[in-house]
Amino acid sequence: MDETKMAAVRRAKARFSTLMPKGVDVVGIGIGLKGTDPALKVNLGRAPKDVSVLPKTIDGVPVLYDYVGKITKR
Amino acid sequence: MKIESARALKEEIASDVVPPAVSAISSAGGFSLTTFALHKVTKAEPLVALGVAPGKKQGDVRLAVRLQRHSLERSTPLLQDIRKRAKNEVDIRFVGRIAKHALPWYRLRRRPLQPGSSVGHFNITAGTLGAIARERKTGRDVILSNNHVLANENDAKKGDAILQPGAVDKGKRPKDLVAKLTKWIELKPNGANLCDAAIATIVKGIDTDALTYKGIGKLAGVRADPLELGMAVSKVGRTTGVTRGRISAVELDKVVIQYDLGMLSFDDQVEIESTGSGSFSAGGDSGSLILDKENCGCALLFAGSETGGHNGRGLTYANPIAIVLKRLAIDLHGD
Repeated sequence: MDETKMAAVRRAKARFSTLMPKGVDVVGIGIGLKGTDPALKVNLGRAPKDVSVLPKTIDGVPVLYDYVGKITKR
Repeated sequence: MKIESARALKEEIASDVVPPAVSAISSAGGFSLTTFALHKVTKAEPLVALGVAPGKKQGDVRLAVRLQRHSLERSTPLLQDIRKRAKNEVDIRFVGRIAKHALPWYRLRRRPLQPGSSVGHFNITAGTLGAIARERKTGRDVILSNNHVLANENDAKKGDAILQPGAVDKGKRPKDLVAKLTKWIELKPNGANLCDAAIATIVKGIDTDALTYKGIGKLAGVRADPLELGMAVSKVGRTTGVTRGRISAVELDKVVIQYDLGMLSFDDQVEIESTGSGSFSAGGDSGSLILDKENCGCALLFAGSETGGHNGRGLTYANPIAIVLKRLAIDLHGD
């Protein structure tokens, strides 16, 4: 994996909390894959009422949203 | 037909239609015989099972007739009589002899102890024996699994009995006691957790097979390189057996997970999605060691969701193995 791209995603991950509107049910923030490139992956417990509030990119880094619901111990 | 009519018809057919048909077949030479030990013979004969099946319209039902003998399937008078009484609102099928499903090996008692099998603290249902590892300080073999499997979410004490199989799989003390709880990483209700892990020392006299991951191959030690996005992984666990997947996310922070203790948060976790049609894991697979394509241990499975991932069948979460081994001061075999 391209370390420069990974570093960009890590910076976007650090900035994410400052950009995310309140009330969005985030249950995980990490590094995922979009095609062959790393991207910011944001897992949500449920979809927000207005999905347009979710940023599609952060500083040029694409953001992937996944609705994962409740996560439980297995 | 209405459900009440179907129930009445079931009784009528069971008492008035089936016995004469069975007598007729017996008089004409009888049913074929399956040879097995006399002590296994019971009075229950596989003949005709009767039930209720969905009808063609909503709220409507049909009589369900399941034939367990070919002689009955060939009995035209019997089938004609049933169809007539049911006014053709009937679903007739030949199902043959019905056998109980054998439980898969990973839910049964395994000696020697084997990774992938059912295990657990005596007060929990069951999880998975992830690995047989070696404690650095003592050199003794230990079972590696999750805190919530071996230490009941911090609600346990050193020396507590660990059963294989776990209690829900009919493991009982003292006959299935295989290990005693030694050490666990405390689960924190506040702040970020990094691991859900614990070890239990295997008691004397219990044989082990640390390297065989049945259905996958031999454990080849610990993965030395960092986990890569998209890389192929597999596991064998108590509930779903062998499953395969790929790493869908790394360095996952603020993963919020429901425990009996409450909602706990985890940082620096690994996410896996299935590459098959089902989920990579299900309840009871906790504690499974996740292997890379070279069969090196790379993560410890502990949580999952019911939705999400490319096939919508849920995602699985795991602790990177390096931090687990470091915090518990153990090594995997196969290095």
